Amino acid sequence: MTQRLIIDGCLRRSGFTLEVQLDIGLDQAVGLQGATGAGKTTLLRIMAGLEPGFIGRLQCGDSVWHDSAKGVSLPAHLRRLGVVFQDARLLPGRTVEHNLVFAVQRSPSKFTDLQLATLVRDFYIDGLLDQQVDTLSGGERQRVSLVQALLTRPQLLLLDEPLSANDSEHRWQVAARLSDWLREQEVPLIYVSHSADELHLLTRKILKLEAGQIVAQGPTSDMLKLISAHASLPATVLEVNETSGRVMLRLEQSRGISGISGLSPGDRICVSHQLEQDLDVGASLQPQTQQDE
Amino acid sequence: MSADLQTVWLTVLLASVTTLMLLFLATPLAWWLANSASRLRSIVESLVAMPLVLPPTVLGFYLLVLLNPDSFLGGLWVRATGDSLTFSFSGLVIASVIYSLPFMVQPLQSAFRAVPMSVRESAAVMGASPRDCFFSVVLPLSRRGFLTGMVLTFAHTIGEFGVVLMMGGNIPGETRVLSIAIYEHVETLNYDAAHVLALGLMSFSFLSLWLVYRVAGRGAEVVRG
Repeated sequence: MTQRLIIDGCLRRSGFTLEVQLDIGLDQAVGLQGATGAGKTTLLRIMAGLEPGFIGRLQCGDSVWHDSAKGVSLPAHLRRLGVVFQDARLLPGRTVEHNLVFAVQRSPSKFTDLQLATLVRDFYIDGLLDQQVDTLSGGERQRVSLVQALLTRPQLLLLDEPLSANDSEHRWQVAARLSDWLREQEVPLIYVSHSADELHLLTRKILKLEAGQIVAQGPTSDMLKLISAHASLPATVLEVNETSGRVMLRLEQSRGISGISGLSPGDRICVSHQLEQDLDVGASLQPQTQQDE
Repeated sequence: MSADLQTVWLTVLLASVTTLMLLFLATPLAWWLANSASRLRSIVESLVAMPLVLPPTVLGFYLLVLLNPDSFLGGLWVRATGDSLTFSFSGLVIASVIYSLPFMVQPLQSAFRAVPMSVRESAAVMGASPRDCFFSVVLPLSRRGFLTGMVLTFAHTIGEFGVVLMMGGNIPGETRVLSIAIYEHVETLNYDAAHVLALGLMSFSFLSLWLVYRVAGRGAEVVRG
């Protein structure tokens, strides 16, 4: 049976009200989209049990996490979550390794050493283990925080722009690893991002928030308004992942693609491709308009 | 001189017992003060800070009234232990704990406040209960607050005079602490003996404060990263 996440309630603050009725299946990873200040982070914090002002009901699977009417509120530490906050907070004054150990010690079941080593390598933090967290760059902090979240063996993963500070190469590789990991471990995901390409890769469904309300929801491909087109794009294969069947490609630059409208110079687009037998690339292009930050 | 050595030993013992007791009493109190949104907080804060502004004689006077064997509390103690709380070492410990309370509570309170809520939240979502979070996250980050509080409490208790005089008197081996001994040496015009003790206290106070500022200074650098 599909686990469902049900939220019905509101949070009032001076100048801002979040009001949400929501019932989504957690078998598909969910993206949260919306302008800054729309309430994405607040909604995640409500799910995590960090907003004491939330009035209403919140249920994840069989367990009721919050029910104001019955005076029930499961504290954050019992919800078995993995969270990456926007500011990728780590425990200060400790090394990366200590931070990871902190998470492992509180995880209900342990990983094997091999799994740990793989995880640390896959998310490009194997060289950072002895470093004090205060010396890390923004992207490094985010990756450590992400691994920390995965290590707690969460029943629900809440990620708030977890890759935004990474350079584009790391961002892609880490997003791809994350996607593999989620499929392998079957962990439900709620993913906040401004980046259409991350949402496209990681989520199957998108909720759009505006001024504290959910204004639209639908499959990711519809919500991102993917434009389908066929084009031959010469590319170099960078990496082949045998288990997931994922292939990393570098597309050659400055190639013309015809048959797509609605684009103008300077637009950032996302190309998703499926390799066909003859190694032509079927591409769907999607304009990623600049969102106001 | 051996009488003065006994005095030094008694004073150090009093300061140690007081510091240890305050460590356990002030930690939960400071934690509550650092986190509470209750209206009671400002009242409790004021009460805790009272010994900073109150003349020690006033504090000593009320303690004498409250704890003497004829009073309710003092009487209970006499029946339970057979000892008086006034003019005794146990009485001095109680007096010192109250007298030095702000010196332990305030550094701890600011240390606890300096631990960002965000850090506690991230510990919580990783599965750390509030208790777990306090011991494994907050305490290590508050090390400097604890050191400052302990050094200040110890040093402050070492220099106690007015409260002791009011409710402890001057009983060698029981209540005669350093500052009382100095007072007595001066009264009897024994300036040489007074000099030895006074200079000792001066150096000790300087060293304690220097330690506190050194630790605090290094803390600031670490925070700046």
